[in-house]
Amino acid sequence: MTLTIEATGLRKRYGNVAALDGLDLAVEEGHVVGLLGPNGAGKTTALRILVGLVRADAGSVTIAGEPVSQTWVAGERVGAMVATPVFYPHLSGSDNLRVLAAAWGWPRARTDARIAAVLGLVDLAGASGRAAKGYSTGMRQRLGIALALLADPPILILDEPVNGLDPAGIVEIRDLLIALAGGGRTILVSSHLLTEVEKTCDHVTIVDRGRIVAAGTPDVLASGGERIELRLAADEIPTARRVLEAAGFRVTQRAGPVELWVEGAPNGTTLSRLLAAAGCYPDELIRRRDSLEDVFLRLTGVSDGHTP
Amino acid sequence: MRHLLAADWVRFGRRRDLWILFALVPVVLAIMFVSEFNSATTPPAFSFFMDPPDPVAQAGARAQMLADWRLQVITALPTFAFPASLLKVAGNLGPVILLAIYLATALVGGEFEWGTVRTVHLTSNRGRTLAVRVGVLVGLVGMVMVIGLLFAAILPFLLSFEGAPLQQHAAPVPDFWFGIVTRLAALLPFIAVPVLMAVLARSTGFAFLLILLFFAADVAVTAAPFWSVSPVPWIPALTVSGSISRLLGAPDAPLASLVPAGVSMTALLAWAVLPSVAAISRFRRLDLNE
Repeated sequence: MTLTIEATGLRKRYGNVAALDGLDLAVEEGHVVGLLGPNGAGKTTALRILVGLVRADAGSVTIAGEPVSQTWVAGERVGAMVATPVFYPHLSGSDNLRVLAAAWGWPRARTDARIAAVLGLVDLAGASGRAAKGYSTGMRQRLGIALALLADPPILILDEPVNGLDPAGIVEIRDLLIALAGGGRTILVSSHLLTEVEKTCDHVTIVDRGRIVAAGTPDVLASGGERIELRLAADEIPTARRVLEAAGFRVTQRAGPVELWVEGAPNGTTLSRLLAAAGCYPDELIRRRDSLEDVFLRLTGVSDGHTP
Repeated sequence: MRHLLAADWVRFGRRRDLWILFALVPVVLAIMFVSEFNSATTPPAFSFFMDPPDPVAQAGARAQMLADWRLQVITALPTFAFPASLLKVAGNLGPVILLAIYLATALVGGEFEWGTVRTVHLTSNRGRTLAVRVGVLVGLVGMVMVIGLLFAAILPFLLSFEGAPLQQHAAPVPDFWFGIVTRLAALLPFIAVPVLMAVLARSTGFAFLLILLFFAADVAVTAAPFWSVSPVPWIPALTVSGSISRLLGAPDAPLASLVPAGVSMTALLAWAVLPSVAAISRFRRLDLNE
């Protein structure tokens, strides 16, 4: 296992607020890792530290084996879009890219070819000559991604890449990330959009209050949440519950008096037989597993946009 | 370095405000030179009244006044003729100082305001980028001065006094090159200090305020009356404004007696180098939360 991005014990305080509280992060080469967390969880601070924009109060970061500090230069090896994309407002989209190419000493032909390629990838070719200050939020987001992709880097660090995009744009960027991942790149992408992370990433790291609360593949993270949901008549609930608990299953009553969640049951047939023997006949019997959203909400304690 | 210069050319080559200022300031320098020349060579208005009127005495007073004025003009004309014209234009520091402050705050503070300082960090070595930016600023201000000096070299050949070409009054200028170098060096602190202030303030507006406060404090220190009775009476000759006054002022000016010219020149260069080094050092270690 080769770790491309490794952060250990990152701590960062802003005044009395602990933005990061001992965050550890490991991204293996060739993986697409989603950094999930509610607003204010510390995702952007973590990414800022990862690329050296901000110094951690404690802890260390290495990218491709190099220690990262404020004097470290991402250059052509790491494409990064951290926080809101920023541009020289008086320059066109393509000239904003040209600044980077010039700083890297690229020849004219390579510059023109890459700019055309990345602007085409993010669907901005038609607006490449327009001043960036006239770009919409979605276009700015696309240009930010184009900046990160310009050097065709093996490592990408993207902060909320689909922010401000319309549904079609989200699908485009999702497909782009999947295609980029297919090329063997290491990608770390932060988001609070669970479905996007679930569809794009092969590993997920959930961060809350500045520390990692869970990490693994989406399947592994959700594997603890397999259950069978039963809908029964209200008067059958006590009997059904007694029978199922006696059979050794974990039963919880959910969402009112008519729904039971049963964990640990091998299959629905077993449950049906047990319940029928006790004279209970469910209206519905559904086998479910936790979605990433369920795991996220359970681990971060965020529900309906409120943190308890 | 060459690549960073190329990147700065892409960054700023299309800013219209910079081009307008770049063209305007040398023209302002030329206009100031010509208007100064016109002011010096325009006969004074004669308003001499006597009661009762005495035309003979009035004519005599008028003739005397014109003779005095003419003597003054003849003395001043060599300072407008080439090569002294170069020193005169280069000595009109005001517009160039304003340009230097504007450029320094706009080109450094703007990066913070736009947030593009993040792009700078990700693209290239921060310290090297700022060092190149300081070099670009020195180059831009230097080019404006060179264009201004070109005007100063041409204009004396186009001007005349009482029908005779101005160049008839040309005279050799002692310490000419020292004078030119001193005037150019006088601009450097007005690049370096604003760059430092822009890095500290992380914006253009707040940087302008800090720059104003800094130079107001500098002038106040220079003008403070208590230095002459203190154990360090030479302090006024070492401030930015004091060292410039010491170097560009008359040899018998009060500041000239405090320290040799070389010391003031060293102080002036220190005011250029130390803020630049401080700005680069600070910029290298800054948390970029923009």
